[in-house]
Amino acid sequence: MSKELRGYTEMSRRSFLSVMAMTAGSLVIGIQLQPLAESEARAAGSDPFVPNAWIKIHPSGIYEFVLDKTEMGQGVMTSLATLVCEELDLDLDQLTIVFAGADDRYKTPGFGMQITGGSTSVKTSFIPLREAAASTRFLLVSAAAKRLQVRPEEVQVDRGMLFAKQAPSQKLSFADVCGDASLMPLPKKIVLKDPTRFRLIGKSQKRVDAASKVCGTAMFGIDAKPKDAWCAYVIRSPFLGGTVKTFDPTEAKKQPGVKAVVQIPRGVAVVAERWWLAKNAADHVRVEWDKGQLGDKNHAQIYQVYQDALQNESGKIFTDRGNLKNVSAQVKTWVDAEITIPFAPHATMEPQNGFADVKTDGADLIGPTQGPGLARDIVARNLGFAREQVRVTQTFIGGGFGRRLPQDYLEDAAAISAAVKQPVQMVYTREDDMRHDYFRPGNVHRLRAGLDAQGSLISWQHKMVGPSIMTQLMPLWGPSNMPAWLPKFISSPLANIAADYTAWRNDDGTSTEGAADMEYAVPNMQMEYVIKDVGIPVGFWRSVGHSFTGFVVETFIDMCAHAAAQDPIQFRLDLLQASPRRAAVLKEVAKLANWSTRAEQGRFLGVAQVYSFSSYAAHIAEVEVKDRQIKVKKIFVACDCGLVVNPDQVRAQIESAIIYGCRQRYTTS
Amino acid sequence: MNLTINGKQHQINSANDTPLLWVLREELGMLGTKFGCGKGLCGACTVHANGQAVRSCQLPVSAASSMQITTIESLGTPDALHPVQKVWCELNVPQCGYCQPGQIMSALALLNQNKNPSDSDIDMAMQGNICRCGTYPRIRAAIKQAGKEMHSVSARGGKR
Repeated sequence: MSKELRGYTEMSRRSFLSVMAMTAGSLVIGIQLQPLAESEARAAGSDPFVPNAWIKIHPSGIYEFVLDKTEMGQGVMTSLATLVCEELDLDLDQLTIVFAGADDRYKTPGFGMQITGGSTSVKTSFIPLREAAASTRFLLVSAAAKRLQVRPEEVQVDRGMLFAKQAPSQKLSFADVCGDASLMPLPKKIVLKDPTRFRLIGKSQKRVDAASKVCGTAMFGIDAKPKDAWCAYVIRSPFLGGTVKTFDPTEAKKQPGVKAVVQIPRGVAVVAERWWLAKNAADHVRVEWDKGQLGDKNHAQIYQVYQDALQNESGKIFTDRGNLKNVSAQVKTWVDAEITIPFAPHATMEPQNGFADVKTDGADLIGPTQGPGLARDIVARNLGFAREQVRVTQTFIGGGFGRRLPQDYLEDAAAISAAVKQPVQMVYTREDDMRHDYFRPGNVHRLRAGLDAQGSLISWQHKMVGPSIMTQLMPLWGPSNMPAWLPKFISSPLANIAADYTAWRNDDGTSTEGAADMEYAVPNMQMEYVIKDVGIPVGFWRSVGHSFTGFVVETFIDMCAHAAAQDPIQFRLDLLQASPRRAAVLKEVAKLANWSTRAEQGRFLGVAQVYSFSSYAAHIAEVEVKDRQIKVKKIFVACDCGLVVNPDQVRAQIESAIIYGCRQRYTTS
Repeated sequence: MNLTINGKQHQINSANDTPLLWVLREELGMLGTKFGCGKGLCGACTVHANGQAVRSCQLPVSAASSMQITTIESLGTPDALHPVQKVWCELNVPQCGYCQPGQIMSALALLNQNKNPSDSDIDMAMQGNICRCGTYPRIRAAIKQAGKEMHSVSARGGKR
């Protein structure tokens, strides 16, 4: 049984490995192992052997793995532990796993920030983690070889034991030799296990966190409140983006258990001994609100703003291929569509929450964050601390899906704790959670395609209007990407300028991914995006831009296929001849679903294919329509996601994504 | 006021109208039962009251004081899992895991009544438990498998 520590452990400052992200675009990480001369590196007495930023071998027999990614159900705890166990020849239940917390050594390559997201964890850890484990193994083997008086090549490693091939009964454990291992010379070249010898990678494993989750002992952010800390409920604006104008705390302060009522940037915090008491007392606070940019615009009004921009404004042309004007003479059939995409909530099961203990010289934060380093940087800036003065402990997350990337919940907790000078945990109600989200952007799309006399798709024009995640986030996140020594009065304005520039140029690829780079080989194509921000907070939501561009592009290509009176899969395949992996999943799912015989069988099937975040997938849905109600009977899936570390986990994620996606409804006109 | 939780008596100082959920979490420090909505809509707070699955966010502690309350903590530990928990792990049911204690309490209430539930029995019993990660297909499979295993244990005259 994998023993998970509660995640409070901070990375030992005596770890001397530096993990360096190489230049932009490269996913290579150079592991620099500093010379082991310092005596503090030696595992003496009870001190652990710490060969790199991820692995600690304790002389007591605990083998510790520092997980620098957040576990929110996507299974990285198990997958990344698998990589380590593969190279060390351990079983998964021999590892004790702790969360890393905020630490710049774990900045995700490509992002320049320590976050978990974008389907990058396994991909960016696959080589570095294995190299870390393999070099650790090398040192342990060297130490064992010396002790056993054999050559290193003669040492076998099996489930934490080292022994000579020729004398297998004389066994040493990792713990036995870890002291000596810290004195061994480093490998000149790190040799990874050959894939043909994989014991764990590529095989389904039982999740290492399942047992604690089914027992209710796994600690989520909401569970992380120290016993005597206070609890806060924040009264938030009924208008998105609204601010407090005035508030009267008099009656609330008289309620049982209430300690304080304080204003913070995002509302009025009622602080009490227990959250239930804080929440009840909040009913007694009178607050007057200033409406923000959004005001009280309703759904129709918001979308009217988009429609007006669709008609009247120009944006950034992301793709411009061929000549739309010239080709229109050859078009025999036009296909037109306007597609409206709603804002989508994350709706994580665990409501947003955060804990902060702010003192005069620093702060400790605990929360279900997807970005511990970000939380540290933002809260440090807010409170006027240096980054090193803020420590962030991360917990299990009861649903992420991108919601835990903005650090608002930790900002709120820190603001409250600073105001009342006590450790405080802040928890949202469900109502607040649904309303005060960073939504998957809602947007509008207008598409026009032209088919020639043969029914070939020769022109494709796509214009999109909607808010931009990056222009909202850059002011907050930008400074984290800049050197830590840049003072706030430089880094913040710089980030704001970058955001304004992005907005001015309508240049946010997170909105257009999947549409601008659509691979259907239409010879004449244009994709245009106009950024329109009405004041609704937006953020990353499972699959980001693809969550709507996938729908839009696949719906429209389907309309084109039907207009051309052609089979929807064949129509797509004809346009994907230069995209073999997309074509392959389409063909595979067609076979799986018996696509070709659907008419005879009286089955109604629909198809879509999307490439996003390094995976190709094609789905076929078998549906029934009765009294205008759609019932999804079955979903068939073909997915090409490259090398798979844990097949069952991939399957679980696909099942999860299908159900997550099925809950969204779209309208086409 | 007295509360009987997992067979043990507790002296409670919370006000009578405090939902059991918050007494469990805030007064007794029993964090396995989760807060998801506070409106009886999501099932994350499910416990047993006299063997029936109830939403503890909707049960005032004054009403709970006359009942035998059972929480997730009574089922098992990672080193000694209840059969239902064991099957949940074997099938890799949990993802984020936040809803799972509530799911398991609802499932166990069903299985205690019926070790061989049909799909519609499962739909009925479990429809109040939401899972945002979408583990429903695996929950269904786990309920069926757990039912079989519990049935064969009791057929052999074993405990649980």
